[in-house]
Amino acid sequence: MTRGRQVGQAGQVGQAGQVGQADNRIEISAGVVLALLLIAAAPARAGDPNGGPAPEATAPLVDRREIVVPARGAELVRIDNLLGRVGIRGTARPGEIHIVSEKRAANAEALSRLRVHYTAFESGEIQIDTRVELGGRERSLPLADSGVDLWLEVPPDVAVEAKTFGGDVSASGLRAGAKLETTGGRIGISDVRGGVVTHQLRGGQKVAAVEGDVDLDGVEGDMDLKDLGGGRVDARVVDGSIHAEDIRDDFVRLVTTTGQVVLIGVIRPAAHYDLRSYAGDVRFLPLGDPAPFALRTRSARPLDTAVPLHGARHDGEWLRAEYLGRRPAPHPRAALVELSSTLGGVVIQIQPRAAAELQ
Amino acid sequence: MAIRDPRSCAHSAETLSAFVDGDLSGTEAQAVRTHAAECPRCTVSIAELSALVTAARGLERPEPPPSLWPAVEGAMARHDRPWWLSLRLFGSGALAGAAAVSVVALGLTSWRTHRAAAVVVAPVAPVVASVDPLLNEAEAEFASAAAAYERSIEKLRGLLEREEPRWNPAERARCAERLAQLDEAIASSRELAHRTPGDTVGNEQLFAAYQQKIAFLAEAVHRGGTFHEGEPPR
Repeated sequence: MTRGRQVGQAGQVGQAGQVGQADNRIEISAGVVLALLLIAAAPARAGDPNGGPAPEATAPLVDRREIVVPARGAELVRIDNLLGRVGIRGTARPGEIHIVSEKRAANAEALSRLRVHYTAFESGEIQIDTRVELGGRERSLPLADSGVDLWLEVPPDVAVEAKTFGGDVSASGLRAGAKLETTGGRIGISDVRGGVVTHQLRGGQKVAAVEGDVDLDGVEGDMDLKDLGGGRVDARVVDGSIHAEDIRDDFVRLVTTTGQVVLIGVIRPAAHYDLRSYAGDVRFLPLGDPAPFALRTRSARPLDTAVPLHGARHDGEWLRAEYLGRRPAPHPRAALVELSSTLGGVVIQIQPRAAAELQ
Repeated sequence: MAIRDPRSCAHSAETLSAFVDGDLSGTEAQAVRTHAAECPRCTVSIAELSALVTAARGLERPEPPPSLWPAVEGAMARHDRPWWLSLRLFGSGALAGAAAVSVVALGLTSWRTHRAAAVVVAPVAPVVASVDPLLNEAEAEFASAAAAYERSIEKLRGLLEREEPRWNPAERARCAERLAQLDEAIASSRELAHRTPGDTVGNEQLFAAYQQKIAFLAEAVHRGGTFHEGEPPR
């Protein structure tokens, strides 16, 4: 097995590397190290940009470094940072990645054990990961009081995958999609073209201005979705509410177990909306003059709506009906709207456009 | 989520072994994690391989007795002395050399015994409280995440208990059987994760097992007893 060699390491540039990789992933060139621009700052106490005496003895030591690394031919940037936060912006020039790492620890000894690795592979994958030295070995471990935050500017056209443990993770300005994963941090995504995938234990997610498929998964925490357009939106959370506005996808599934689901926006002809909550209310709030839709709904309480529905009939525990629209439909296919709340209620209210814009 | 036929698993034992060793690329490792989240058999295989790796790690660096190096150093120093001094000190030098050889032999014997015992008896020494503050931080983070998963599972179990009486006995039995499988995967993953402080791979497997159970419970709560994992929504 060929081992990929570390070609740059913030704070440890030129040291022997790590990372066992697959056969077809070999190092690009050790010469890349020479191309690194490393601006290293001496460790300073947090909150003291001039590196002077610390205002409080308990403030952590901070070591901030900035690197510009070449990324010619890069297709995927993967960031594994269990030690802290990750922020990614697609604003770098093609062929370059700017990395700012901020290490923090209670003392210099702990600070010196925090490492950032940068590895480039011939396959076009670039990996940036953080480790902590423990007992002579570098390990990827979650830290809370100590840690490393990474801020990256990448070329917009590279795909990005980022993973944190307790730290927030955010991505913006990307044009080839993003996959973000965190255990306890908040997720923020905005202005992204391409598929978006998230996994989260807790912390909440905000996703806005995405052109592409969106697949969001969470256990605890609210989800806030806005201005999405692509093929499909699939958002699932166990313990949290989902608020979605201005969703232009043809398939929209929003599912929560304990929280509320709210969808506000224009109904697209032939689209499929599937909104479900076990214990919370489901609120479907189409904007303006909605396109016709076929409704399939069930709830613990009677359906709450003033929308004129036609052909209402029961199918087991489900109620089926049609909304025909105010004008003859220009499209042959109505949308399908499925709304379900096992213990809560279902509300359908048409929103005047101006009122919705104020919300 | 689908229960997969283990014979159709995309990942061979070699791939799982490479995953546990950390030899896969990020993409490949993620593919294995995604698969394991849906495949109890691979979850258990990974847990078993992690146990082997953990056991092997314990064998990599047998701690020599503190007296070993001084004894060897003493023997080397004696070797550098003039022949006449060696002759004069023959008695004590021979004793030091013999002691060094004995200690090395004892160390090797001990290492071999340890190794044989570890291969036969899988369990590794229990976790000893760490004195490294960074390792303690990591362990606290893992514990906090595990507690959050447990809370969500408890909450879902409460909701499921509300739903189950509406199901027929066969549906309840099927659900109980699946939950028992998931509990088994969680228990074995938890045991492995707790053997070695700061075992990220072990904890990731534990969290994957928790996620599997949460996904199952959420689906069961939403769809009732008639659902099958992997089915499209009704």
